[in-house]
Amino acid sequence: MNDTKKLNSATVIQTIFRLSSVIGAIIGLLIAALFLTLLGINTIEFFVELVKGALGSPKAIGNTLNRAAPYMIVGAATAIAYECGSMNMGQEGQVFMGGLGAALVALACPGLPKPLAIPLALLGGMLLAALYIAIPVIFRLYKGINEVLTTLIMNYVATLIVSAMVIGPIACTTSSSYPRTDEFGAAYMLTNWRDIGHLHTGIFIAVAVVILAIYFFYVHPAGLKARAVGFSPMASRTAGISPTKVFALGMLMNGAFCGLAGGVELLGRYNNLRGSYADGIGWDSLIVALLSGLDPKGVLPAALFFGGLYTGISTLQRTLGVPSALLSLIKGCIVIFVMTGTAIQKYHQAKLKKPAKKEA
Amino acid sequence: MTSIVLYFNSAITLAVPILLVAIGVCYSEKSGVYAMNSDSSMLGSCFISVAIMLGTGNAVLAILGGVLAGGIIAALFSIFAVRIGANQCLIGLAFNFTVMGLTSSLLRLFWNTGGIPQFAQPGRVAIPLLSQIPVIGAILFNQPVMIYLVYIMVPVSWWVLFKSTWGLQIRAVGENPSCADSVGIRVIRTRTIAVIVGGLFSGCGGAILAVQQVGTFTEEMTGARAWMGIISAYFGGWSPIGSAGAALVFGLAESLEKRIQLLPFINLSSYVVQMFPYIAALIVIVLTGRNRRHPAAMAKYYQKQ
Repeated sequence: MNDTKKLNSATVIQTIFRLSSVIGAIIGLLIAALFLTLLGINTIEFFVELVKGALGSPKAIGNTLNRAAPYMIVGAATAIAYECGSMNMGQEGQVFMGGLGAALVALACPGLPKPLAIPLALLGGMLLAALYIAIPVIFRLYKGINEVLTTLIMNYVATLIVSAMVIGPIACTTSSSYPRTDEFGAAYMLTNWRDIGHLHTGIFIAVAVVILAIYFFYVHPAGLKARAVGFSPMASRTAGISPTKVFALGMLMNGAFCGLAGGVELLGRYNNLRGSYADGIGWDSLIVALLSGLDPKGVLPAALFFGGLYTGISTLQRTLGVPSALLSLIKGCIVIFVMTGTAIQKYHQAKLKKPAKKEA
Repeated sequence: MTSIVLYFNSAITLAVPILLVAIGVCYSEKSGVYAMNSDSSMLGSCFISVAIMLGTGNAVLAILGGVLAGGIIAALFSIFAVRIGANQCLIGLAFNFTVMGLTSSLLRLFWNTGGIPQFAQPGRVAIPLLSQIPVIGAILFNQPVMIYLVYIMVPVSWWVLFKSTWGLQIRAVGENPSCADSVGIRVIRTRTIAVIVGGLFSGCGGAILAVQQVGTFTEEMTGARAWMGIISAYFGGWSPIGSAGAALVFGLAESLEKRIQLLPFINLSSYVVQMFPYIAALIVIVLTGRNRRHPAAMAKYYQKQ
């Protein structure tokens, strides 16, 4: 009797916690709308145009899905890595290094057939990004340096490395008008459909990664170990799981999948590498992971929501003159509310329980 | 000789915003709150101080406004990080995003594509006798007025943190909050005030950056300076004097970045040169390594039982 009661209140709180992501997203949007109202843009018009911009036409849907693909890959990997007890903040830099790795492979072997070329390029991206994240992992393991600051600083270094590469060693040989590399050729282009906003096959890779993540997280024994470490590093140590090892593997996995996302973005949308080709993908994906409640199952809707938001606001910038920086504002508000929800669930449950029971 | 003097002189000027953030981080982190929010205070302060500067033309008012803005943003942060107990790292990041979005949107909406016009920065003031000292005088005592205030701020902050009663309370709360609570220190209140003081310092850093060094507001103008401030505090062992030394390293790296391209015999891509401060930051972190034990209760939520 007592047990079922406990379970019940736990599920209710769990539901509130789940809803806190949705509530956070809605409040974030409302704050953005309020902000625009103060500046004379109608709230209803804003939301109608936002939905239209994200889903109003096949082209818009294609753009939304294209943007959501890297979010899904990085978001799922980040959610699992955070469960492994890491605090990787360097997704942005790792995505850039992934693009660089894919571009290096593509430029080094131009003559390959397509079925060989694309996996090889994506693998190159994953490898370079994993090597890049290995640096903060080594710092952490051998020097005891917290990974938050090192990964943050390495974001800046990665974007600068890509910028320096495209004007230096791998600069375009035919024209120097715009800093970029040579074209990779058709073999290194993911198939895309022109009618639906150049939607490319990256979305299938992304969905596959999310399904794999869900399988790993909930079914595979290694996923159970990861969750155990995230839940309680001390308890898992007594159970014979090494939190250090899980941490290191989680970080490397996160880096590799950031690299995959960078490669997918590069081969799907562009056929050459340019300085700021993946601006913001890493940061947005970190928010996607947080919005999902660090659960791979939540990554799919969160990534689609963010892909739509990004596409919608980019369209609004052209039609209504809404500044695209508004996306940062919404991102910030979402994280504030999601994290508040998590904290309330963690520390203030006693206060929550009474109203929750009445609802049930 | 003059070029070396100029190099160190500009290094000090460039180090000052980072140094101020680092002092703010000392207050905040000594009390046990991870100061990932300092970028939000800094950027918000840049925007407000530039707006006041354009409105009134008074540099003192602008800097005061910026300092206040930094404090207010930090106060909001403390509600979530100290009272509610949300993950300090992520909530700090969220504040950075929010302020970044807010300032960039306002910039676009009010000044459209033209950007904010550049205004004249306050000039240098040489201190009469001290600036006559050879080399050191030219480096240290031929600076804008605000920077002399910073010279005073470093020892004062050190005294407050390590010699005053309030500083002892801050450190107690950062090391063992439940023990501090048992002797009657109000943990949440002490932490909130420490975070706000940290925000005031970060705001001061942002205001000096905008009013004194850049003379206008651009999107995300603080760059990685706030992170460097956090790293300086880490390297300095959360002591204002040590942090000042670490901030100087970043000032030297940034000054080198600005000057190396003027040298005729070095041919480096500007992107490679821009990496210098970040590489310096990584080297500083690695050198510090395990030698720094952070305040025991850092980033840990404390709830009154």
